Amino acid sequence: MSKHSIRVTSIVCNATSESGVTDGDEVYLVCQADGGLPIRVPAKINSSENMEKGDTWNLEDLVLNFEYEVLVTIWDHDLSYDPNLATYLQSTDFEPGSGSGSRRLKNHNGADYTISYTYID
Amino acid sequence: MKEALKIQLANYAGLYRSMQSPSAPKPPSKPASMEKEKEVFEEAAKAWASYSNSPEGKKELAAVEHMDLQEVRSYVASLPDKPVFVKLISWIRSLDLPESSFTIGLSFEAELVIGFSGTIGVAIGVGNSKGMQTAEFLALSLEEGLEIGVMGGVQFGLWNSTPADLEGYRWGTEIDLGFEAEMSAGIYYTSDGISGIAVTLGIGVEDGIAEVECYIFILGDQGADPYIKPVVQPRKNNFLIIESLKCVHPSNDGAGDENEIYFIFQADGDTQYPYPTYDYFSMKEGETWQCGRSVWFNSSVAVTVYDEDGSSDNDVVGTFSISLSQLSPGKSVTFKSTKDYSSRTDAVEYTINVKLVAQNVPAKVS
Repeated sequence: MSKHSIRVTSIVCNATSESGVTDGDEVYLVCQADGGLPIRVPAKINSSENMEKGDTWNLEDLVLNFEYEVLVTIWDHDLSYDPNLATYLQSTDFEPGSGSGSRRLKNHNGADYTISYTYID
Repeated sequence: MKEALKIQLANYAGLYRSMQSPSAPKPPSKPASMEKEKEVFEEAAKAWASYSNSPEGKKELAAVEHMDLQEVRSYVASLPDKPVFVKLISWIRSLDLPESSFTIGLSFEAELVIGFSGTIGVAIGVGNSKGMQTAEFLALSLEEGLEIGVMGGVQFGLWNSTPADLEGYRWGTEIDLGFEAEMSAGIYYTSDGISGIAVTLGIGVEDGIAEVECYIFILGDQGADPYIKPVVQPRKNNFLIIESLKCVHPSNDGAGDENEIYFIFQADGDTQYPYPTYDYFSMKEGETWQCGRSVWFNSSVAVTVYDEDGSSDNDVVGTFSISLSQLSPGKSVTFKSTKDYSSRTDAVEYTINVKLVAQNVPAKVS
């Protein structure tokens, strides 16, 4: 029973992390509502958004439904689909009343991303 | 069926569900003759009856109920070495079959957030692939409306792929092979045509397989720690969020001024979940990681914070014990490590902030 929803509208890359074999980060999200089954964005295994400094990833229609909380984690993956080899960049979570806005997520590896979101209800 | 196994399988089911499955190809027509395959399955059923009715078989199959995925995997991997199956496999290899793998697997049905059914098994090279290394696999189908968590049926298969190449989508449709014993059979196919035949004894016989889509994962080709880590949590009475973790003072691990932090959380002594699920987050003195990790629990949550130092022997830099009685709804509470490291030369110190979000949640939510 999901009582709340939030739309993640975009991810902006302010700086990429230093790791990885290609230019930029191969970014994907894992979204988990209420500790349940995670959703991978983009959905296809081994797919990702290649992001370099200044790039904006406009998420077409990423609506996350939740009852208590939804956790969004941002990852950089290398060539293999194996999640054991993915690099964790950062995470943020939303609760009822999170409102709309944007958050800046950084790490010591140089990754610097801004996630924008709209609280629906 | 052990809860830990259900959670491990649910993570594969979640991964499978998150993949965009290709559209189902048209079912191929039934091969003209499957007499040899039918004979193999009849002999396999006899071998299974002999094993499962033996004292050793009874004991081992009863133990499966208490195994996690790694243990079930080791168990199925041991099946080709049982004398009765050694004999069976040797005979199958002598038949000059067109197929490349013979599989023995245990079927199960379970529900955790979503319903799924499948088989954990071992694939053995036959035909032109005899002598090839065996591979353990997990074949999963998603199903609506399952209410049970049981293991017990056994499935045999003959496949065109070699053991190592079984991974991928298969579609199946029920066929009648005219067995006298209680067995249901299906042919499996891909866009390239027929990929194999499988029969199931025991559970699910009355339903057969009708039409199914499944995905076969090969287990254990991903390095030293091959499994998908647990993420999905079973719903419990209460829900908290570990909002943040603060590095008051990092551990001196001899590698710069940062710690590579991850933690393991465990509710009520049940499954241990790592966070981040893979990898770590680097922290320096005075920094706070807004980790936002939600946790379902009944009475308590244990959190152990590690500094990943590249060896198998990662350093513990904080241990936390959270009880429901220490929390009140909507309020953030700071916890200190139950183990005090202030006497250490590096005086490592981490704290966590925890907020209770929901209490006495109804067990079953529609």
